[in-house]
Amino acid sequence: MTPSTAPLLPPPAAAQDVAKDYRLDGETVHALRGVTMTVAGNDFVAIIGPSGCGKSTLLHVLGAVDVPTAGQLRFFGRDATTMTDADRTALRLRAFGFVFQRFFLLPMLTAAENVSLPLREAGSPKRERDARVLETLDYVGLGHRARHKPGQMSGGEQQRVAIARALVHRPGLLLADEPTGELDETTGNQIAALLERVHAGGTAVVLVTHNIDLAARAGRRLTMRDGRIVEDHS
Amino acid sequence: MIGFLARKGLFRHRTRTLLAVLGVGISGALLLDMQMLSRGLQVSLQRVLRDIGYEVRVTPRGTLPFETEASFAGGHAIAAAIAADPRVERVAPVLGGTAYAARSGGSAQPVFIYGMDPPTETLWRITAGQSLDAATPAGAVLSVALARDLGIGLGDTLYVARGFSAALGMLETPRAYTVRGLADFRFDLRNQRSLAVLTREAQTVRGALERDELSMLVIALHDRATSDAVAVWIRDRFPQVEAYSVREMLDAVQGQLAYFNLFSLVLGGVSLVVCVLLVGTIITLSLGERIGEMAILRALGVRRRRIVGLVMVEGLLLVVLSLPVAFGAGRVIAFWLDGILRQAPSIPSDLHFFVLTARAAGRTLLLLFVAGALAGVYPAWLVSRLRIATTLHREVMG
Repeated sequence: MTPSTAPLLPPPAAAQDVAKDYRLDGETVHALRGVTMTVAGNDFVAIIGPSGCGKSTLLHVLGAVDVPTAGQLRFFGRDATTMTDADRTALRLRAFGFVFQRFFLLPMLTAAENVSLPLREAGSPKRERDARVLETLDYVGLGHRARHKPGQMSGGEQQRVAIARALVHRPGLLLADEPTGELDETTGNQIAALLERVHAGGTAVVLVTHNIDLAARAGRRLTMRDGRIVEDHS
Repeated sequence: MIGFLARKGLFRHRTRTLLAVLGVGISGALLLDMQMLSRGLQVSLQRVLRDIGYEVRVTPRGTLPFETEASFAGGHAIAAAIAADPRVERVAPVLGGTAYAARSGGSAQPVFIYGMDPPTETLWRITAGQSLDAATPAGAVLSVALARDLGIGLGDTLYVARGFSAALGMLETPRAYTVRGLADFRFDLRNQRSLAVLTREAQTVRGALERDELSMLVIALHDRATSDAVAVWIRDRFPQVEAYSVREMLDAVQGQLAYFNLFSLVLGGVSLVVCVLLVGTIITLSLGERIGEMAILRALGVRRRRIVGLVMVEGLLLVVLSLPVAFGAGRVIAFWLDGILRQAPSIPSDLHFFVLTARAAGRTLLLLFVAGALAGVYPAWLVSRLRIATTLHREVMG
């Protein structure tokens, strides 16, 4: 895998005093309160904290799937407040990759078809797309499972396919929300090792986890409480 | 990408998709049938008229051909005057009306008698023997049904009279004819028995010879495009008659068949609504199950309008898959219904209620695609408002 973000480029994501509020059952929930942080191009960041502290919300804001209520947000140096929904979508397609706790693979597609989705959307030619998909599946150790559907694979294999889907377009930033949350310890360790390898390959990684062992593998740990970053441990 | 995902999505639950396709197909079949019915009789009549081959028809004022037993006097003189117009190729006088027929020693049958001179015998198709011959005025052509009922065949003698005396049990002033041919009469009703003789003979039987009464003139033109103008000229020139080009006659008939249009419009509309609701329900339910996947696709960078397009395409794809069912079942149902309706006693044998035309097929296709598109509007609206983070959070929590 070739890194797509050189160290001297602007950071993939930078938040300045970011807040995120939403309404829930008629009441305003302050999910993020004045969060300031930067994800550099070579970062491996773990966000930890108790449930409901705003970890996933921060991940979604950093991944351009959610918009902050207040504060400044920049993606690769560009002010996010000037970005349209289409701009954010294009950013996710070309520069970000997502991994989720529940894998969220499309069950009617094979592993290769799932992995190919970002490239299909980007309009990659078939030959190039097929080669890249196989290369990425090989990278996560599932080249031999390309034609299998998610229902025919274990949880760990499905998560590896999800990681391959997040990496196939060579993003500058990989965002993972509880990537080992549904896996046993052994499989979780395999996924953690894979994420380390992704980071070592030059991709910035931000993950949200309750798993202390996984967080310990990250070079930087952010601890959140009540929508705030209370500790930034490098 | 959209087509790929739509196809994969629909085939994910094969049984459900199959049932949906069958449902939409049956709904589409009804829609096709209503399109076939809405102009079926008119198209069928048009085909028969084109097959018969005359461009203008002249009838007694205020009537359609053979609508009543009305006639107009001086028929051959009018025919000759019309034939003198350079636009006219030929004019054939026709007399039609009720009479009685019997074989020697047999009981009398009420019949419809046509008087028409050769070589213009396109109102019937010979199935055995020969047609009328101007050199054989005592020859007659019988409908197959009449020959069967009377128990006579080619070469037998037939007696025909205008009246029948029930008291005496015999025909009044009968004329004898030799059966030259058996034929299918195009406009015979289900229970009708017909025979044809030369025009003058028919006038003699009907007592119409003295006033030279005719029921109709059929007129062939050198150029079909002049038919409307010739009809107008005839109406102006001979106020005692009506003249119809084929187009005018079809319009007049269509006016009388307005209830068929209304019937087909109502049932067609209902089937269209059913189709929209069916496809819409399937797509909406399916979307509810896959809303997390849609959020994932959006998170992966699939554009909002592409997701909307995916939902719309799924609706249209369901319609496309149902087309073979719609057109197959539609044809079968139409054939079946046509057979039932044609059992009615007042339907000429050559006419059909359900006729498949390019227009009917095209309108059905168009309406089904409109239904598919309309059905996708609500689920597409739902997915267009999808909030990625909220949806993913809900999916994880669920």
